[in-house]
Amino acid sequence: MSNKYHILIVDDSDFSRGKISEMLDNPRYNIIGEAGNAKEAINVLKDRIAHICIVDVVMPDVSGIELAEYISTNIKKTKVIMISSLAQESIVIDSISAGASDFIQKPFTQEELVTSIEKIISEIEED
Amino acid sequence: MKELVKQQETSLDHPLIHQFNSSLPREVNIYNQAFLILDRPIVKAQRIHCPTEHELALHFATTGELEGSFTCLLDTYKKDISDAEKSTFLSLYSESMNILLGRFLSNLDSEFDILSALNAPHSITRDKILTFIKKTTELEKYSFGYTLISNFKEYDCRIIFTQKLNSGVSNV
Repeated sequence: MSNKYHILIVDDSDFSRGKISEMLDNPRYNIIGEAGNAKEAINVLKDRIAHICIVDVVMPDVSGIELAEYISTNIKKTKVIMISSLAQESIVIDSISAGASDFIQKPFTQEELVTSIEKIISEIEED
Repeated sequence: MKELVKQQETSLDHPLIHQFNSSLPREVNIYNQAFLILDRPIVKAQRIHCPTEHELALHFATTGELEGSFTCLLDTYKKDISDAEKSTFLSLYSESMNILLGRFLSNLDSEFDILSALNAPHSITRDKILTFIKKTTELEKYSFGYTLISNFKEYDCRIIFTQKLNSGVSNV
């Protein structure tokens, strides 16, 4: 259980990235980077391994759903948690269809985020 | 007075007003960093008042059944936001509006099956808004307001939704 899990935060909002980073200030998690868009995220993932990517759905140019699809197709070991202020059923379904492991509506609590991350970590550890 | 009553009746009788008002969150807590409190319900607006130089503007385009845009105008008159604070405050304001409008559109879908998506926000200048206002004669206009509370300061925020005439659900 001493494993440190590498997490990448992808959100076009500086405020949101900062809040998530603050919520994950825990020796168990290592924030390997923050990206403001899909392109930056892909660049980080070329150099670093992330166990979990926290991805905002609504971003300029390439959407979070397209990024989740790219990650689940090309970087199979990286799990995705989608976050969004929009929580329509169609968006949740699109997110899961794109390969996301979970979906959390903004604003969320630290407990909700950590619960989602720990659920995915349990699945990683079982594999 | 008669005209005012007539205008109000027109505003409140519009078919979407009930759905809109029922879907607006009364309060939203933005990660304990800011609070949004509904101040003025949605009314159909006859015209859009020009923004002042103290109002910070954000623009969100919408697609789907509510095709149009939200323009958020936050009044910073006499609020003294220092240059050092400005970037952080703008980011908080932008994410607060994103969360508020996301909740609103999600409620519209779950309660009334009106499905729309929100695009990423972008800041716009006062000149661009003035140009935009000139073009709004051919748009349905709605206005509502929230108070944003952050760092013991209260900011008045008016939000304007403009929708293309005869598009999406305007004719329900």
